[in-house]
Amino acid sequence: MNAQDAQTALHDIRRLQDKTRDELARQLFSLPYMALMAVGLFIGYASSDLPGSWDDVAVVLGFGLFIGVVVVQHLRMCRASVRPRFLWVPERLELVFYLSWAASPLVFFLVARWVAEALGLPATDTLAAAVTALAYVAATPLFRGIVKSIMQRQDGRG
Amino acid sequence: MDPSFDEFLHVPARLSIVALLAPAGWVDFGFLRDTIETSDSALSKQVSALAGAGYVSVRKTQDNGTRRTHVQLTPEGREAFQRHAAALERIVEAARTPVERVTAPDARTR
Repeated sequence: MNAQDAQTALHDIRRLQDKTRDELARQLFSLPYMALMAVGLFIGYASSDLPGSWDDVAVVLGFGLFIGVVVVQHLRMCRASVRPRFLWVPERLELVFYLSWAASPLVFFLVARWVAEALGLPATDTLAAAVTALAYVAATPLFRGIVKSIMQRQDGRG
Repeated sequence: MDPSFDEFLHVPARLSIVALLAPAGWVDFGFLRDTIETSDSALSKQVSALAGAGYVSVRKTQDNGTRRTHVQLTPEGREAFQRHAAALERIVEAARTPVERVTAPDARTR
């Protein structure tokens, strides 16, 4: 075994590990599911602009759709061709990401609404909800990239 | 030769399988076959060899009437893979001149 062969083997190892991580990240943040979740977020957050008891209906429908898609996505991952290797004790950085990811729609929405109000735009909740939904879908590659980095760290940890 | 270098694992097809399995839990046989671009029989032979060595475990399931085979790295397999990758890194590192070692930071296997 010479150094050149060892280097080639290491390149192959990294390339193949990346393929698995790509597949896992793609399945975790599947675009159709992310789009459905974004629709749920839009309906839920835009509900405040609806009259009468329609806002309650929209909140249940929107956030119900969001949670429903999360559950379906989780069940789908349990039967996927490549399944994640769950580690029981996440590092602090991983925990920060998962909490940030969960909180990101609300943060997007509050910032977008504040900007819409500052600009004196009408139907601020609907506008902010639309911005939140679009931002959520647009952030899919970012979420995938972060999850891949987390998986790399986990692999390094064994 | 580095004592952690694993001749059995260094067979390209076996190393490819183990590298693909390392970041994941259970992995579908079809994903391995398509990614490595090999045949069912060739992959099956290597998976059986790895299972015989205790490096992977194999599970067969029925999914809507379709028979599916899943493969997973065992803790022993994971440890052997990490030892082997570390041995490869040491071989590469040992071949570098002192100047290269200073200028080129080591890209460690993840």
